[in-house]
Amino acid sequence: MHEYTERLAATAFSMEQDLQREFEARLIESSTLAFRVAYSVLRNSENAEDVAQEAFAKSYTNFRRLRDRDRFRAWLVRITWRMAINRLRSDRRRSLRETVPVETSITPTPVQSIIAQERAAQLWRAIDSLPDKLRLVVVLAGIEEHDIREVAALLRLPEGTVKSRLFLARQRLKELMQ
Amino acid sequence: MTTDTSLDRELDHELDYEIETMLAVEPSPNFVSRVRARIADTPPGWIMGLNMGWTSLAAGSVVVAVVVAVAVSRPHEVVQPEALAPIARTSIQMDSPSDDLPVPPRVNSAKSPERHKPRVSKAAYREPQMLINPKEAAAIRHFLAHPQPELVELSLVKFEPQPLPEFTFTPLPTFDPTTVLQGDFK
Repeated sequence: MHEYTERLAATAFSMEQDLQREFEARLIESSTLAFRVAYSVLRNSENAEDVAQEAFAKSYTNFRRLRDRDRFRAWLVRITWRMAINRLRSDRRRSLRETVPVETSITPTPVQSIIAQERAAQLWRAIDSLPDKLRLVVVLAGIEEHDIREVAALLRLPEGTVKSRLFLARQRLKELMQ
Repeated sequence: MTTDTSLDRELDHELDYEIETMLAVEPSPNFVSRVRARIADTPPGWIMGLNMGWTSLAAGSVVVAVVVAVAVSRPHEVVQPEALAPIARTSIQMDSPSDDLPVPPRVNSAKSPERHKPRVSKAAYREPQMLINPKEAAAIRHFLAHPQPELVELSLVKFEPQPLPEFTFTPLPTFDPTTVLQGDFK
């Protein structure tokens, strides 16, 4: 009886270890993705890190219940997006968005830098004005370097739907930017 | 047409590049270690579930205990003789000035500008109010307070049937309706 209990405890312990190892791998693989998704909503690095961290904590708590572990990234994106939106809503009054860090190679002079920053701010405003489903597609396409298949997998949508949403989003953005 | 399409593509690429650039923000170098520390403080899901289970079990037990305690300690409603008194308080008693009925509020009362609610004396137990004469109520109260068993006991009384007097029927006078009597047509 005692041996059986010990064996059961050892099995549970090793399962827990495996789970933690697996989660660690997911964390390393998806940390930047979660951070960028949060950043696309909050536009503030510190807040984005806080939200991404909370999203990881939440996903860790429920990681055991996730049947299809390959869908972890999609799951994490959804959690992070929702948490970031909630955070933005609650912080809207006092949130002072940090200056957009545009790291482009074509901004050598201060004047050009100001123009680029103004352009980036305008683009963010245009993205913010998009409906959620178009906005998320645009953001994920930007993060994933426009790999439609990857975006479709993250959103669990057909590739055709992602393509059409991306097309619509671009059209609207172009209209708004003109 | 071809120029328009190529211009559109060019604009799309430009837009995509701009969005990619804007989102190419890296988290701080210690971000992952911070997440690890945060996770280390978080118990895994099954422990959380266990805690939740124990908490809900304890809460359920407390609720059941409270319900049982309330049910046991609830007094049984027994009709007391004193309980009749509030029932007797009706509008009939308004004509007796010595009673301690609530005084109706004065309309122009300076002390209490707020609206007065009519004060109603609560009955000891809830039953529909009946209009009972105060004298009858007093009599009932007195009767219940001072029972007099000697008066309540009944004695058997025998009643003997009395002989009825002789009764004779006198026949009613008869007449013929077709005959005309004197003095009918004047």
